[in-house]
Amino acid sequence: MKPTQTKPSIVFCHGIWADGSCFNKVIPTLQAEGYEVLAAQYGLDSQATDVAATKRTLGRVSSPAILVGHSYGGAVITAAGTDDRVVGLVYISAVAPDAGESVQSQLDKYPTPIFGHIKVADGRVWMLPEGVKDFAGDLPEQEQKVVWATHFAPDADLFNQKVDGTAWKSKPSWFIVAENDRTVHPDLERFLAKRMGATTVEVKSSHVPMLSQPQLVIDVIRKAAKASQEATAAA
Amino acid sequence: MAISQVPISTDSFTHKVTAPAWKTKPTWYMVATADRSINPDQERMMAKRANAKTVEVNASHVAYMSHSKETAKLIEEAATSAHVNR
Repeated sequence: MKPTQTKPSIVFCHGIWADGSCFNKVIPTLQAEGYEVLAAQYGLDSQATDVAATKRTLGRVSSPAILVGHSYGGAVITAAGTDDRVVGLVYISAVAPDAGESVQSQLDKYPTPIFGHIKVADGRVWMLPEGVKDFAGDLPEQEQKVVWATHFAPDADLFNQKVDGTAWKSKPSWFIVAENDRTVHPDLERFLAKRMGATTVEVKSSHVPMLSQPQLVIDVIRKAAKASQEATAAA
Repeated sequence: MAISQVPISTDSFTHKVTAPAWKTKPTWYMVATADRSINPDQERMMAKRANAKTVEVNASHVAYMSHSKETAKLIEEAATSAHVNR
């Protein structure tokens, strides 16, 4: 048996109406276990610039790395994940386009209540205050209000854009399906998880399991990291 | 915090402001006396120049996290003194 390889780094990719700090409940435990962690921060101005920011972030951690994407962050890791430094993908209630698909074309097939509570202004898509119930409805009310107060509005064209790269076709993938998701439809998540052949876990959660069920999210990331570590050791 | 930092563009710090809002709007300022990111003396100078209502807290650069109550109090003070016409 070969000596165990070092732990992979963990790089987080946030969705819309969020930033890298949405992973604050899962980061401390992973750090305590010795993982190098960095959350990418990007402007939600275009998919190309968000993917570029993620690749810059990959340059600031040791390789290999696991990419973890929440929601729209799933589109980001799908593109950025083809990078040689990436050895695994974790999707959290995320989208995962195939070549030629846009995020919008996926969402259109599985409509959800949240999109009845948005407002496009100044070229960005804002969540209306009552929309947070369809985004993070299982969090305590005070926490929901903070989620709304810090929601980061994406460019209105973001979901129509397409970027190159379909990492889930070549990298091992994990998928957390949020059963009570009212933002990305659970059936869309199940379809995507199956299509990519992901190791899938279902959780009774709203769209934000990293906030409502952080222990489960930590557990899945840990499993993905261990699997990649064993694969590297066996190679 | 260290890991969810937003990298800034190098231009952000060289860009010049043309019309500083503190010249025309009422201003409050929290000086962090143990700040190692912005020099506290620089903060005091800017607070004075802006004629700001100023409080000092014995805090690092992230006073809003280490001294959240004092920060909320200062913001509430600003919010209650501002003239709101609706």
